[in-house]
Amino acid sequence: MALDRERSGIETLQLNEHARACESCSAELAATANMRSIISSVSSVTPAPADPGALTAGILTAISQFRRPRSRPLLDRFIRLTSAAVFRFSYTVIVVFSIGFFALTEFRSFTDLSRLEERMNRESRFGSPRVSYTISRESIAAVLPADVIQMVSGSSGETVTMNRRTLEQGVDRLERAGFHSYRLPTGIAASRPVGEAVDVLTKALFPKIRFVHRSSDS
Amino acid sequence: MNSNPPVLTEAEIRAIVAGTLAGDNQVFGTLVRTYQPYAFSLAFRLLHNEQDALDAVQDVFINVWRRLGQYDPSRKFTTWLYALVSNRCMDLLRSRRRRVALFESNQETLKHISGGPDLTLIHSNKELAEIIGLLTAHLPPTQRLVFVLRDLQNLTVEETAESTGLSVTSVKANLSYARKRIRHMLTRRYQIGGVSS
Repeated sequence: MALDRERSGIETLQLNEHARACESCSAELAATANMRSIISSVSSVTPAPADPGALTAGILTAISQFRRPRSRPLLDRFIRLTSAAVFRFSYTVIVVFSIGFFALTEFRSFTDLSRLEERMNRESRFGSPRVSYTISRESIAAVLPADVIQMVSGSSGETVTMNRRTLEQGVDRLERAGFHSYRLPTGIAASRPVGEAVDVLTKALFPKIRFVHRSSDS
Repeated sequence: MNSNPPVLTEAEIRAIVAGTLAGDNQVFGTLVRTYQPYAFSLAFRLLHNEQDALDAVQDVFINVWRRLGQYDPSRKFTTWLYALVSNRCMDLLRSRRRRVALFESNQETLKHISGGPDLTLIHSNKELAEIIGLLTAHLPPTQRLVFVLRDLQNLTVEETAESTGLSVTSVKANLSYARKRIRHMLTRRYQIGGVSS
């Protein structure tokens, strides 16, 4: 790269300085200069069509056979601007709704138990059921000393983790919503330890809520 | 661009664009007459065939006429034109597999022109230009395009980059390889342009 004419002034000076003491570089520089001179003389020979007039006429004739769409600058500008605006608006709406939908499905407070159940069943189909409901705060602490309770799902055999804090939050919401009966989703409470835990909770701490146990094959 | 005719001023091009878009094709004729030497010389240097170059130039100017509404006046017209010509010629070279055909035809032409590695047979710049032109056909397409635009059409490195869509670094690299190969071929075939070793 240093030997072609794209080199900088400083590079040229350094190269010339070096070439004075280096025979091979000196020869290379001379060859480059020779090549530059050849190319320079060649570039001055510009190819031209034999009949430039015929070329121009041919182009204009070809163009005359085409029809340019009628120029409508104002309408075109309006369409361009509105289509851009519509695109931007649609894009924004799609993004906002996508985020909103995601937030609603992931973080909403369930006031409708059937929906909660539906969601839990849906999640359990993907092999990772999550439980986020149970009885009241104090009673949970009394009955469930561990922060995290692990249960084995009766249907899939997978381990379900119940976090005490999320359980408390879930139950608070259920209570505020006035639910007095809740049916555990299929599979979640089918294993014996879970069933026993739920029984204890039910009897000791939250008598007004009735838990209906369902077996995994029901 | 020393041997090409003068270009139109920015204001003249704006007037031509406005007139053409308003339906005056005769005004467009001025643009064609002014710039067809640039377009043809580039097309011919890339394609090495007069009829192909004429066809390419015609296609390009029709394309220019169609896309004139999209022309950005802040951009140099010749750079835009060179970009269109380059794209058209590279498409032709690729689609027609011209490299093989050119190689075969050039072997014949080179034999015909040189008759052997004898400097005395090179009488003029025109003949030398013909030889260089034929040698460029042996370059890979990108090197050929960059060499023709920079060294034969005399664009700056930046203009070459803009016309080809390559980076400045890539232009310089391709140019360096192209010059080396041309020099090597010239030295090998004609004992000119090389080092004595």
